[in-house]
Amino acid sequence: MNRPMPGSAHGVVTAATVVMLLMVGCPPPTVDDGDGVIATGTTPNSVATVRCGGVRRLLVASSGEGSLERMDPEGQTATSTVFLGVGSTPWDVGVLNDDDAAPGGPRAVVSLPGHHSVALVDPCAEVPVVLDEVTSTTTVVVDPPVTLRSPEDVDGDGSDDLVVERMTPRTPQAVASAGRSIFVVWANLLAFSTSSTEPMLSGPGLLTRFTLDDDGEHLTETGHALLPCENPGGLMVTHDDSGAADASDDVIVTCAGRFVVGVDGFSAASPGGLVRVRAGAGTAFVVDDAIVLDNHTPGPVVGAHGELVTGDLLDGTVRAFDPLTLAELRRTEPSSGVDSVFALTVMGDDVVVAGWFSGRVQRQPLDDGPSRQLTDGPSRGLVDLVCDELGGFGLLSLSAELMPFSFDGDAP
Amino acid sequence: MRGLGGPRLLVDIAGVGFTDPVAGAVDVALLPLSLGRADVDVGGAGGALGGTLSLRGSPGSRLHLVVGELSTLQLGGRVQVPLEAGSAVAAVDVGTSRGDFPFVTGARFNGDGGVDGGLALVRANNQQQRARAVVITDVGGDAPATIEGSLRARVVAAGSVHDGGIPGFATAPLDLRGHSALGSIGTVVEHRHDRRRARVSGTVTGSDRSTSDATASAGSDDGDRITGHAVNVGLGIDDTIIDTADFAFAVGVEVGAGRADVDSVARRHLGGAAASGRLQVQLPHAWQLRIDGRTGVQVVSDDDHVGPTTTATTAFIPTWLPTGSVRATIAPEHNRLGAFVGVSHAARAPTLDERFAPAGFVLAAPDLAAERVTDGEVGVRIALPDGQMLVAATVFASWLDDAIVVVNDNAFQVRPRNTGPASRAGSELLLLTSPHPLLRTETAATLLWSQVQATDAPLPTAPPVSLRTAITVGDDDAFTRATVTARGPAPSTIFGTLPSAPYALVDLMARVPLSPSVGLTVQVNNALDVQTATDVNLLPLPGRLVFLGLEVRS
Repeated sequence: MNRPMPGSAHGVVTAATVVMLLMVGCPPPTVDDGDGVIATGTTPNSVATVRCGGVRRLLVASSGEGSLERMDPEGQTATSTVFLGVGSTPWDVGVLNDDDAAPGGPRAVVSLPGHHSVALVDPCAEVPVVLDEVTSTTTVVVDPPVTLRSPEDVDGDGSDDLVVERMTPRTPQAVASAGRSIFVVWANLLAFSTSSTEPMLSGPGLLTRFTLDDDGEHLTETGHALLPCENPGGLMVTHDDSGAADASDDVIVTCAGRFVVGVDGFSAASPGGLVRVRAGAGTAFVVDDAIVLDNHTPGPVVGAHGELVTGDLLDGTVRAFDPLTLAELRRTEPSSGVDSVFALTVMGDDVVVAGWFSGRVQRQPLDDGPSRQLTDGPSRGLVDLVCDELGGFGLLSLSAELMPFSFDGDAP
Repeated sequence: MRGLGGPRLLVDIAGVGFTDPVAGAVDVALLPLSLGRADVDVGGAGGALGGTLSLRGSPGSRLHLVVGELSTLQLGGRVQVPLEAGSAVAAVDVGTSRGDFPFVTGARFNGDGGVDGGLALVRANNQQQRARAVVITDVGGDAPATIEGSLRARVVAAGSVHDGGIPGFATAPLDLRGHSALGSIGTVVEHRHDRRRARVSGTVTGSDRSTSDATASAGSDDGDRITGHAVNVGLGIDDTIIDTADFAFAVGVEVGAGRADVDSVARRHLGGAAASGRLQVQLPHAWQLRIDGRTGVQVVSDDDHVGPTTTATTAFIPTWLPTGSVRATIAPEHNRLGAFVGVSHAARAPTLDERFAPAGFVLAAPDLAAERVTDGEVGVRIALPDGQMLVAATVFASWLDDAIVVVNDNAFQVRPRNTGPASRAGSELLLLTSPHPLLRTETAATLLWSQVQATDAPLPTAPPVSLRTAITVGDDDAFTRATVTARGPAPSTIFGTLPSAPYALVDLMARVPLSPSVGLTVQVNNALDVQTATDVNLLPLPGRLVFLGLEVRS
């Protein structure tokens, strides 16, 4: 089972992809329901689009296979695959330079929690190839210290420690591109939850930025910020007045906090949070604002209609926040039981689409827009959505499928 | 088992149950297959939804020592010892092997002996150790003069431990657990005097999950099938980590050709009644028609159970489990030609694992309904004289209600659920030929169609086609054998997705006699070194492996 475990930062997926699509802008898709299902590798977790030679391709991070797969949206399975290493558990994929005219062409960045690293991939080569794999050199101070259940070398000094006071960044989660840079949030997971009463162990969250070099073959860490919250998993880059994203834009990070899901519901061991970070040109980012969310476990985040929109990993609510004050503006009704919103995307003219793990997708959820169930029967685990001008797909983790969807015929 | 495994399969050794009391299933890695003989009754006719597997001792003694790749070392075999008033069979299998490959999804061998893919969460050095031992003693003789008649006793003691393999899946379903242990001791003592027969039996079973189960029964009959009678009473105690103690009872009455039993087996407030009978009719021209039938109902209810992942349930909610089967067999006296038709209905109460989840990340589902399967099958059997050929073919169709499948409740929790109906149909073929004393072929093939209605997909891990055929040249002492094992694509999920690719693997084996009782064996598994084969759970199968063995027979 490689889907999010209780208290695992892995539960938060693919906000970076959503952000990428937000910046690209997606009109409503036109693919008919039920047609064109594409088989993916085991336990896919994130999907993104990329243009290779002007042709649309899908990229799927397959955690179980340890690979990044390139798909033809009109095909039935992967056309090419790059293996990212035993145990790499690819988690999120974002695309830099999604423009054939840009030097070096498009690049994919994949977070690899199992390797505590980020991989740079040429996704459009005849056989996609790994160009670089980097780790963060930032040292994370853990205060107060965390006591592990068994000794482990988490600070990289070669000796196992039971009490963690500092650590090297680990378990990268979401990635979000901004020009030739990519932002990455690190959950710094120390131990998974082992029961329905014991939450995960983790250090404080971290945001880093990596920048692509001129030849497009290497990433260099160019900045970071320690986050005032735990278990960051959602990430988006805000637009500046120029309308073009770049490395100095503000970054919005959601933190799920630590939580457990028990037989009778869920409870939080540390609260969720919403953080705005001013990246700027320097290497030390500034945490501009942050709010504690006692009753919210946010995962994905997107921007639309001048609002920040988040999805809850536990109660299934979609909520809107003021981007300036970070105050909550409105929310949807909670789900009956646990039904995670792992996917938010923006289609066309600021149309938000939310996807629940149970397979439900809804257009404009905060305005009670039309919804539909992608599949019948037991949940196939909807964990990501992707769209562009040619159509939309829901990524089903348990059944390893990309399922096309549309809202044709629905109003608005 | 026609696409149904796990707790739907019952295993016994010489009549003594060998099934985990909590899981309701047996880890195949624990089976003492060195006993030499396994009888399989597929389908619901045996009372289990998937089928029954009965292990027996084969005649003769045979020991083997095998060494080979992956640091494999195996010592095993069976010894049959004639006793003054019976015999004893002991079988043992002790071994270790080390896989240099991780048992992971997506792993592939590369040309350097390394791995091109995999998943760290389940990556492991596949070090495995196992020990399986079983002793079956069957003795009889005159009873002491004070009670007259004769006594016969059968004692079966079996124990297995298994460690290693797939540590990452240690909390997965039983057949994927990284370690397991199971032990069972059972005895049957029978006293005969004239036409009367009395018997006492008892079984104790325990597993590594703090579980044990003890049953005892006693009965007598006068041996007269027309006018006689029989009475059986029994008592069972089930001590698990779920409950401190449950009880069970059994009472049976046998009159004429029929028999009625009232019994309970595993859990509090469990009871039922069953009746079985046999009708044998002599037809003209030396043909016989035999009709075996049984029917019954069990009642299962649980109350006041508290499991690690469940809350207490205090209501008395009975579950009725009607079962029954009828099989008509027609065969001539020489038994070279026969045909049968049968229908059966079997039901399975959810296991303690499924209801109360004593371990693992799979949660409990106390409100599960029982699974029920209705089977129909038709078969023929043709045997040529002198053993030159045997053909057995069966066509079957089944309907499974309230199929219990482990599914996701949400992103964080999985538990067994009744997912509605499923159906299956297919055919099985067994073909044995021996056109020459030094040439034998054995072929078993299955065609299977299945569908789970909730997903419109086939039963997970059930391939539509599977085949095993072996050609042996030589006699029992000196031979060369080639075996082809093949199967079609099988989905590894309940959604019909992530299919494990079809494969055909060739194994070679040769035995060279060094003396009348000692032989040298050479075995090459996956002789064509197929690197891409996986099992139905997408776990990679090893490439070519070579083993050398020394075999001693008597």
